Amino acid sequence: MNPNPETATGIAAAFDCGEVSAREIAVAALERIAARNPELNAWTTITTERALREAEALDAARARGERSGRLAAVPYAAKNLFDIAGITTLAGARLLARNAPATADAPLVQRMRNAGGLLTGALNMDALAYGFTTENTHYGNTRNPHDSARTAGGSSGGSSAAVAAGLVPIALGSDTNGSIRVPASLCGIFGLKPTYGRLPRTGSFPFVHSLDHLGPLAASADDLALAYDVLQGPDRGDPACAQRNIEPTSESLARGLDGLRIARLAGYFDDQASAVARAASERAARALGSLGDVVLPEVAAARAAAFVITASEGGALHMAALRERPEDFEPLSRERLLAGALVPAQWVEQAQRMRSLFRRRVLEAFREIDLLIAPATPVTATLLGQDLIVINGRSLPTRPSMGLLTQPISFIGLPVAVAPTWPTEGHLPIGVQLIAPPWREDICLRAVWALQKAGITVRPVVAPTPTT
Amino acid sequence: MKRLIEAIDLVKHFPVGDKKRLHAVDGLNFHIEAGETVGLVGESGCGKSTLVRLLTRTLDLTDGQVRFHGHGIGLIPARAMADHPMRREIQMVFQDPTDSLDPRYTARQTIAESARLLTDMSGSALDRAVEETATHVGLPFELLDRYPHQLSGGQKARVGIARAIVVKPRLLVLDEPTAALDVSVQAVILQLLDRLKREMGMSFLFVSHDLNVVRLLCDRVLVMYLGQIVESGPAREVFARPLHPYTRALIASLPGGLAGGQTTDADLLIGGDPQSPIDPDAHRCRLFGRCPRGVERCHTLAPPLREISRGRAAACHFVGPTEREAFVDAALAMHNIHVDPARRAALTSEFNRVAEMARLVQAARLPGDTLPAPQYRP
Ligand SMILES: Nc1ncnc2c1ncn2[C@@H]1O[C@H](COP(=O)(O)OP(=O)(O)O)[C@@H](O)[C@H]1O
Ligand code: SF4
Ligand SMILES: [Mg+2]
Repeated sequence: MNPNPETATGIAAAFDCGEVSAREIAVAALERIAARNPELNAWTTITTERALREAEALDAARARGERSGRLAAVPYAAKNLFDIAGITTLAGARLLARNAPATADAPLVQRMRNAGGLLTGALNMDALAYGFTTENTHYGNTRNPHDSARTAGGSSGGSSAAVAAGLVPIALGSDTNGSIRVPASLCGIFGLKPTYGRLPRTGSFPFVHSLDHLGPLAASADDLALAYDVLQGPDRGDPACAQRNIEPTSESLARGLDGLRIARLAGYFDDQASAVARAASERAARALGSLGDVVLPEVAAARAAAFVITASEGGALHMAALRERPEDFEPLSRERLLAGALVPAQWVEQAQRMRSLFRRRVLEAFREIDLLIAPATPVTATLLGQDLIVINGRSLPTRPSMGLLTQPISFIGLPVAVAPTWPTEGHLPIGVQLIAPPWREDICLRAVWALQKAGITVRPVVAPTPTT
Repeated sequence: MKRLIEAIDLVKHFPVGDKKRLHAVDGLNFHIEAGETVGLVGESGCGKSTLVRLLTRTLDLTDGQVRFHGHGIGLIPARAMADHPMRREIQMVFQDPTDSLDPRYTARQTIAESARLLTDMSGSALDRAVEETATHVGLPFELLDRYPHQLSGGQKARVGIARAIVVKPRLLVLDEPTAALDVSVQAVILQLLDRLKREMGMSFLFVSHDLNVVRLLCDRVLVMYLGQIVESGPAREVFARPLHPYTRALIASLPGGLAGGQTTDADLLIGGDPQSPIDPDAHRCRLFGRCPRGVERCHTLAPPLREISRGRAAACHFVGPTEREAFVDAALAMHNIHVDPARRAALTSEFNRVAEMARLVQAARLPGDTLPAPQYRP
C-alpha cells in the first residue's frame, strides 16, 4: 500500500475504501515537506499538529462509520495571506509579523477542512502579493522545483512550488493580476482564477479590493475542479462576493469539448510572448480544435489600466504604514507602493473607464466564442535575481513583465484556468490560459481536462536539469 | 511643421575583424523639420560624421530607415547617389575647404559645376545664379576667377558654402564647418551662416564638437555619446538647464560653466576609461564608468531616450520629468510622508512607470465610449 498517491482524487479514494489511514497520509506528507522545504522555501509555517489532529479526527469518524468528505485525508496548504486559526496572517510581509494570530480560519480554509483536507501550513509569497517572482527579502526566495536557480513565479510561488514538488496535491492561492496563473505556468501545474466575485475573500489579507481573487492550484485537472467545487458557496463577509450557489464542475469534466467554440488570442498575446510561449498556445489551440485566431482591441491599454488601478489601490491601502514604518516594507516593492499611493485620481478614473469599455468589447467577442486560449507567461521561469527578460528582441524588466499576459484578463474578472505544457526544448514548463465568459469556470475546467486527456500537460522527462 | 528628414532606429556598424563590430551609430531616432536648424554635438569619435554620411546617403546603412519628406531613402545604395535626384535636395559643406576644393578649378567654375551637374541651368541663367550666390555668401566678384591657392581660408570656406547652396537644397549639412579655420575667421563665417539661416528657407544640420557654434546658431540640439543620442531639446533650454550628466559635463567645461554658477565636481565626468564602441554591452549605459552619477543599476540596465518634458528628451535613469518630480514632492508633503533621499530616485522611476501606463490608457481609443468628454465653447 502506498500512502502517497499523487493526486487528491487518488488519496481521497484510497482513504475512503480503507486502504490507508489519514494519519499515515499526514505523516508521510509532513515527512516529505520536512525533507524538501529547506531547499524550496515554500512553507513559512508548517502546521504539523493541526495536520495530525485533523487526520486523527478523520480516522475516528471513519471508524464510527461516518461518510468521508470529498477531500478526505488530502494534504494541502494555503498561501500565507489566508487566515489560519492560531497563526499570524503574514501576507509575505514583515510589516504584519507582530500582528496577533488569526482567531478563525478563512471561509475557504474552513471549506477545505469540512471536505476532509489536512492543512499542512502556510506558504510563502511576494510581500503583500505585489510581485510575480516570490523573491522575498525578509522570508527568503521560493525556488522552482524544476530548477532551484529559478523562481517559482509569484505571488503564489509557495503554492505552486509546493504542488509542483509533489508535496501536496492542492494549494490555495490568490490572483490579483496573475498571481495564481504566473506561478502555475512557471512551475508546470494547474491553477484556476475563478470569476471575480465567485469565491469569498473573507479572512484573507487584501491587496487590491477591486481585482483580488482567490483560487486553487493543483496537480491535475480533476483535482483542480474538485478543489474548486469544495471552495464554492456564498459568504456574507465579502461585499464583492456574488453570493451564487454552488455550480459543480467535476461531474461535467468528462463532457470534454463537446460543442465548445474555441479560438486562440493573437495580436497583443503573440507580440508580448516569446517563441516558446507562442508555441505553447498554438499547441493547445491545435489540441483543442481551435477555429482560428482572435485579436482583441486595446489590450496593452487594458493592461496599463490594470497596472494603474493596482498601484493606486494597493498603495492607498498601505498609506499609513508607508508613512510610519517604511523600513518594514519589502524593498523590492516599497517604492512601487508609495508611487501608487500618490497617483492622481484622474488616472485611476480613466483606467476604470477603460475597464468597462474593454470588458464590453471582450464580452462581445464571447458571443461567437466560448473559450479563448493564450500563453500564461511571456517566458519560462527566470533566474532568481534576474532583472531583465527579452521578448521578441526587446528587453523588459522581469518583475512587472511576467504578468503581461495575465493582467488584461483578470482586469475584467473573467474566469481562467491554467494548464501546464512542456516545450520540446529545455527543462522548463510554461502554462496556457483557458479563458471563458463570466461564471463559466466549468468551460475552463473542461478545456483543461481535455488538454490533460490529450497528453500535452504531462512532463515528458523525469529528472530536473539544474542550470548553473 | 513638417518633417523634412527623419531617422528611425538608424544603425551603422563597421566590421573590424575577428567578427567584431564597431557600433558607430547605434539606434538613432530623430527628425529635422522644414526650416529648422539643428545642432549635433558630441566629442570626437562619437559617430557624428558617420551619421552625416548616412543622412546624405554616401554610406550604406546597417539597419533602420531614413525618410525624406516621408519617403524612404535609406535603401538608395551609396554608389548610386551621385546620379540620384535626391542628391540635389541634401547638400554638404565639408570641414576642410582646402581639401574639398579642386585645385584646378576657379571659384566660379567650382560653383557653376555644381549647379550644372545637379540642376538644368545653363548659359546666362547659370552665370546669374553663380553671381547671386557669390553675393549671398559675401564673395566679391573679383575673387571668382581665382584658384583655391590664391584664396584665403575664409574665402575658400565661402566658396564651399556657395557650391552647396547654389542648387537650393532643402537640407544643408555642415560637418564641423569652422574647425579648420583660424579663430578670427571662424567668427565671420559663423555670422555668415547665421545670416544665411535667416535669409534662406532651408533646414540646417550643424555638426560640431564645439558647443558655442551650436549655441549661437541652432534652434534645437542633439547630444551624441558613443553612437547614441543622450539628450535632445530646444538649444536655449538645453544650454540653460542641461539634464543629462554628459550634457551637464560638456556645458560645465565651457568658460562660464553651468548657468547660475551651479557647477560642482558632481557635474564633471570622472576620469574613468570610456567604453569601447566595439560590441558594447547593450544592457549598460554607455556613459557608465565616466558618469559622475552612475550607480550599480546603470551597469545592468541601459536607460532609453525618453521624453522628459515637452520637446525635451534624455537617456538617463536619474533624469525624470521635472513637473512630475514637483508633483511627487508636493504629494509626499501633503501626505506627510518623508522619503529617504537614497530612495527618491527609485520612487521617481516607479512613479514614471505608472505615469507611462496612465499615458497608454489616455492614448487608447475604444469605440463605443458612451461617456464622451465634456465639450466647452472657447
Ligand atoms: N570606415 C570605418 N571603418 C571602421 N570604423 C570607422 C569607420 N569610419 C568611422 N569609424 C569609427 O566610427 C566611430 C565614429 O566615427 P565618426 O563618425 O568619424 O565620429 P565623429 O565624426 O563624431 O568624430 C569612430 O570610432 C571611428 O573610429
Ligand atoms: S544612466 Fe547612470 S551612468 Fe548613465 S548617464 Fe544616467 S546616471 Fe550616468
Ligand atoms: Mg567627424
